[in-house]
Amino acid sequence: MNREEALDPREREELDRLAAELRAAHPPEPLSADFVDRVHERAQRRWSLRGAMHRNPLMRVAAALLLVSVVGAPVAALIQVWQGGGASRPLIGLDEPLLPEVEQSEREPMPDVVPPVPAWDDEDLGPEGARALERTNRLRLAVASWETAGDAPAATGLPAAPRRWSEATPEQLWGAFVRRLAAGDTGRVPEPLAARVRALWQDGDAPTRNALAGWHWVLTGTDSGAPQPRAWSGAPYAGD
Amino acid sequence: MMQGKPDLLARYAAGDAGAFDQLVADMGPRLKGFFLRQGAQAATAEDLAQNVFIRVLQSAERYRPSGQLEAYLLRIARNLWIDHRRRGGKEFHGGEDGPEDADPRPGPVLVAERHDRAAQLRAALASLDADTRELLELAVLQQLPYKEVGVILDVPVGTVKSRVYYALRKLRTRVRTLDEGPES
Repeated sequence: MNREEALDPREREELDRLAAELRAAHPPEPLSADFVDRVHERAQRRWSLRGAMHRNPLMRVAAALLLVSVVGAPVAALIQVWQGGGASRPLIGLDEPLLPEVEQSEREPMPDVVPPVPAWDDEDLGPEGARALERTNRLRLAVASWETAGDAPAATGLPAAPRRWSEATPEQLWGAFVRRLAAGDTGRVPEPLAARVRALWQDGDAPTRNALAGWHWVLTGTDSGAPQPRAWSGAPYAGD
Repeated sequence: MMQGKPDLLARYAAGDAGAFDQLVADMGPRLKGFFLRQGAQAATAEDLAQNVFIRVLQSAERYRPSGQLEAYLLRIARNLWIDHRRRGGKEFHGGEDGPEDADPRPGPVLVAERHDRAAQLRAALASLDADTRELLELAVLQQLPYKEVGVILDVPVGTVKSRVYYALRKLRTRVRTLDEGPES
């Protein structure tokens, strides 16, 4: 039971009357004439960061950026220290450019070619010596060409070498040429072999000349260039 | 009382600029009276009342209508008054020392107004302690529902009811003392 419930109706009435009298004794206080204007004026004058951030989204973005920029660097430094990783010093220098491995492997071997000129001023090769040197050089070019793009199967199942070069057939000469290339033999070409090639070439038909094309180029230097081994592998021989 | 009326602050937040001026016209005098009766001088009471409306303007976008706009404004006013006192406001003019320290005898001015019932009531109210004066202010003069008074003062609604009648009894006694004169 609270005190209100303990009131008798007469006292309650009296207190209610007193409350009404109290209200009547306190009429609303008049405001100054410019009260509202001053409220608006003071409200506009009172700029607060909180209010500005609430009203203007750009202020919020600017404040966020400011916070990140101010706090970001120390936080990043603390994280770096905490992780214990000392900053690795960047190496200053130049790396030697390396050619790709594939590119290096695709380089063609440089053939050891000696120009047909005397090595020394006092050495006189003479026409015969110069011609022999030219043959050797062309044979070196042919070997280099074979090593670059040689067809290994073409070096197997070749015709046997003749007993005499003067009796050699075009396919035997072709087999001898291929064997030289496969062996890398750039030695002097025997004169009987050269004579036999010239003799067969002179009256030879197309298959014969095709089989002798390598030797003919090495011996004379004529034709368009060093014969390509791949072209020989399927060449029809005189015996076919 | 504004209950049953449209929520002027909600209307202002929705874009009705005139609603705010109407709110000031309705509540401004009541708020000024609140501060005066708490002990503020006239100029200070008006400044503090303006501060209430400035706070309302600043938080208008966040305001959620609950049907208790008067209680909302008076809660702001009470907080502002507490802040003002903490900052050393000197306008306080009586009753704050507590009932046992307050002198219930009328001063010369009150003696002159002895036969003025309204003046007696005002003097009796001013002579009450601050808590009792605040309770009568909210529940009787501002006529807030007891539930809202309980929210503002942070006491249960039943306690508010009993304290209101206790405060009115105290006021009645103080009025009788003033009426009888300084016989003691």
